[in-house]
Amino acid sequence: MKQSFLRHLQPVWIVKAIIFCVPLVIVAWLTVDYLSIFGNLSITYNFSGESARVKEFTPAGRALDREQNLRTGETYQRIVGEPVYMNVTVPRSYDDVSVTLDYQNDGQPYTEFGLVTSEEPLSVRLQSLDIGIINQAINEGWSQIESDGVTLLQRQSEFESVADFVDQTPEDQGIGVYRYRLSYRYTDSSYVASPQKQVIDRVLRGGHEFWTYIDKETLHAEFDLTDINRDFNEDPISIQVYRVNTIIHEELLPDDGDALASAVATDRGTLTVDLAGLEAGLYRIVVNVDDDILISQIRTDQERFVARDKVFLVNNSEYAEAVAGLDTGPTTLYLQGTELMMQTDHTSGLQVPTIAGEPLHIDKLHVPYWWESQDEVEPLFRELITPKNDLLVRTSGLIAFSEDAFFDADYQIEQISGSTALEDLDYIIFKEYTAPVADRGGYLQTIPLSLDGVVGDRKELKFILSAPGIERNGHEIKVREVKFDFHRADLWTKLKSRFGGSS
Amino acid sequence: MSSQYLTRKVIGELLAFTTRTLVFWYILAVFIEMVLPGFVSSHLNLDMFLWSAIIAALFSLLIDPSSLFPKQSA
Repeated sequence: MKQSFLRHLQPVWIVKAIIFCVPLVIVAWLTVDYLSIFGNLSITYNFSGESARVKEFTPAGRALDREQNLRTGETYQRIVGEPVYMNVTVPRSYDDVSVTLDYQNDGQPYTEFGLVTSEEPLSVRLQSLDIGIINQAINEGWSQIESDGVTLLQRQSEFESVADFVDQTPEDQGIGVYRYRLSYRYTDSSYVASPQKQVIDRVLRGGHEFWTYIDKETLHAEFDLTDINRDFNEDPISIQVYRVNTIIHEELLPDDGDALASAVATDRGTLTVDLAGLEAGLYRIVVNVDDDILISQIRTDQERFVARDKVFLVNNSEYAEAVAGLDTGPTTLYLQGTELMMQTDHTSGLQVPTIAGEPLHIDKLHVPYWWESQDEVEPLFRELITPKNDLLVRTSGLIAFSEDAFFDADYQIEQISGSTALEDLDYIIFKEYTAPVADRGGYLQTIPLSLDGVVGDRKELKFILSAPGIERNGHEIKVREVKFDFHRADLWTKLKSRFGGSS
Repeated sequence: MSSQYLTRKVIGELLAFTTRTLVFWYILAVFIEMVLPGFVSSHLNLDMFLWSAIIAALFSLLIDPSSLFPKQSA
């Protein structure tokens, strides 16, 4: 009897060992995944329940609760307002991520997806998700040429290359641009250079891009700079001047030596751009700095001098210690954009700005407030009055600090937005966009995003989906699945780079 | 001892062992999850461990209750 029982003992222990080892193998696999030994981490979220790493889209109201189609079992979340955010937690910091969205689009013409790189001040990195007008042109069979990542769509095939089109841009036909600068062809035969200097005495925080037009004059602009040292980092300063897409001049200034968050302001002096003998046309001046740098004053000989897309107004008591004699009076800006985002990060910045006389109540900190034009016919520009400043203002278009300085460098070109109509266009030129792929009655779109420059340890990431006009037009986007593919150097490469030097 | 009895004994013992293993891994997984959020739950449903353990325990009790609660020898 005992012998018979022992006969069974051996296989029983083998089975027991297998039962115990199966979870061990699973733990080993989870460890490889958690430590990103091969440099990859893949997370898929299909809205079927809660996930430890991926939270559903928020805030409530703009994003509805998770839902399930009882017939097909499909789970999804509907987006009916914007912007919405999705928080993702990863165990390691990664270099980049490819996000694949599986969604259905109920007529929303313009949608972008990206990453919040900084919460305070708000900074986002958006990539195109679904640009309806480009999809429509492709579907209607417009001729398509691609060169160096730039794609040209033509209603009638007139140009044989992108370069030909850029060199001989037609002036009497509608051109739509998306993520591509074409405005440098702007010329104005009626322009006469003014001897009057222009002083912009509004203090601006962080990087800005300025556009100016010159004709038979010297390009001259002086930038007074201050380093407020509020973040732990070095704050080098670079000012680049572009003609077309080529840098023609650069001014550099190294950090002030204070890389700590000491909050001790340092006067960094003045950087001057002074270029004579330039051909007539549009020039871009890009101030490449982080948010520790203030542009305390700009003096320029140019009559036409505007900011592009973003202005971060500082003139508020929050910065009184950093800038001596700071004027905290209201600011008037002249904006071209049809959409606008404003945000403040300090209590003293809570206020009620007016855009074309319409009040916009900014009564919460760190929350982006959005405004959208309801006008049938767009004016040349609108007045934005900010009573207390300390506002990050983002738009798509030019922003002037005085009415006289405004000029419409985009007069023949339409920046593609949700309200662009295809029948108004004969050409579309764009970069960084591929039409989504049709899949299971919806679309699949993959968006590559670099995580470089994201504030913090890059383990708590906040993704953003922006769909301007979605609420007003009653559209919705039904997101069925989001897949994140994170990448970084594998463990072996990291070890080699760490210890390779000493061997 | 009949072969039927032996089979019941072996299956009961294996089910009891499975129950103990699953409870062990469930407790370990909960602990790991507290220290490293998302380590397990990002891929596996933690409750799955517990439900599997309960089902294994029920079958073990049905087949051979003594295997789950063995009598202590004097």
